[in-house]
Amino acid sequence: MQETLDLIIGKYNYWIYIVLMMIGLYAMIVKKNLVKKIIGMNILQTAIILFYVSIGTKKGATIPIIAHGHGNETAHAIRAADYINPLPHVLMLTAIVVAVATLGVALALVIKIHKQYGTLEEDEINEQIRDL
Amino acid sequence: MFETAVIFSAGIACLILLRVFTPKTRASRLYRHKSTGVTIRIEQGGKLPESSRDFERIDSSWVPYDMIVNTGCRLMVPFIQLFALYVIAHGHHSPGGGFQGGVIYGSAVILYAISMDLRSAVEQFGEKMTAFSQFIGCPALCRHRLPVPPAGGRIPQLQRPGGPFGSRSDHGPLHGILIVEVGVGMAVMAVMASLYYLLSSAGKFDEGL
Repeated sequence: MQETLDLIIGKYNYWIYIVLMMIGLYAMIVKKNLVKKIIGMNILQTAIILFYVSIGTKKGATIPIIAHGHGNETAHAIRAADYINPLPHVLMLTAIVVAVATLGVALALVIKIHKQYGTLEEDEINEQIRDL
Repeated sequence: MFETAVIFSAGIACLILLRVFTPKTRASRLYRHKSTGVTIRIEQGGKLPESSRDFERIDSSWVPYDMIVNTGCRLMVPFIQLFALYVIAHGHHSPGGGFQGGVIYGSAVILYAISMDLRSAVEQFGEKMTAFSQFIGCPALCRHRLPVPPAGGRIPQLQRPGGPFGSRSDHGPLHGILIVEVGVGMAVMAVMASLYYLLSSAGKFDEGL
């Protein structure tokens, strides 16, 4: 019992990641409203960002920035264990950009769909398509 | 750095999907007399006081004039823009960079558009300006990479090109990256503004939020 509790508390960021990702997937699959589907997609993307940032952490390490280290001051060696892994952060920077881009295009498509069908409910749109 | 290409294509996609060119004649318009605050509705065919100094056009979903919101946002916008320029200028050797600074600058434009109205924001930073900034900013990366010769089997990376105009000083690479950051910032700022314009007015650029 104690070990399970330690596992849950010790890696709580991964548990939050799992919960958030499942909420996002649920919203994308089950919800009928298209805007709610988009919100679910955003929650899913946020969960993935949390997962990647969690991968990069180390105990007792700081952010991977050498202050004003662009001249000759960086000639000395630096200990990699003092800095968290910057690679997941860089990947997630691109993921944030992709999230913004997909959100913009999705909202544009939703506006077009609302102009065409007058509703955002998926079943009503399907009904109108079937009637055509 | 290729996130600029991603957001550039998103901006173009939204433009293609949403932009509609409606004729100027609309059913009715609302105008406010500036000194008295009286609102008048001009029906279709009526004479529009378009260039009058006494009247200003307001959106058909009527928004009351709020001096606190207007003045507060007008005071905040220049400082947000200054902070955005700071973030862009420090991006090559500290946290920040073109994308983040561009987003902050775009949020300043969006704040102006929310606090005044969409038309006054489009007057300041128009549609042609957003398109121009996108097209200038997006290929900044490519234009910067072009003059680096792939000699000696060295892969031309962002960290190791020569400076602008072939200079080889210690700070040459920094200036080179700064040019890229400014280009990325311009593109991202323009895409943010045009996404807001398009989504809030459903592509009409007439009446927004």
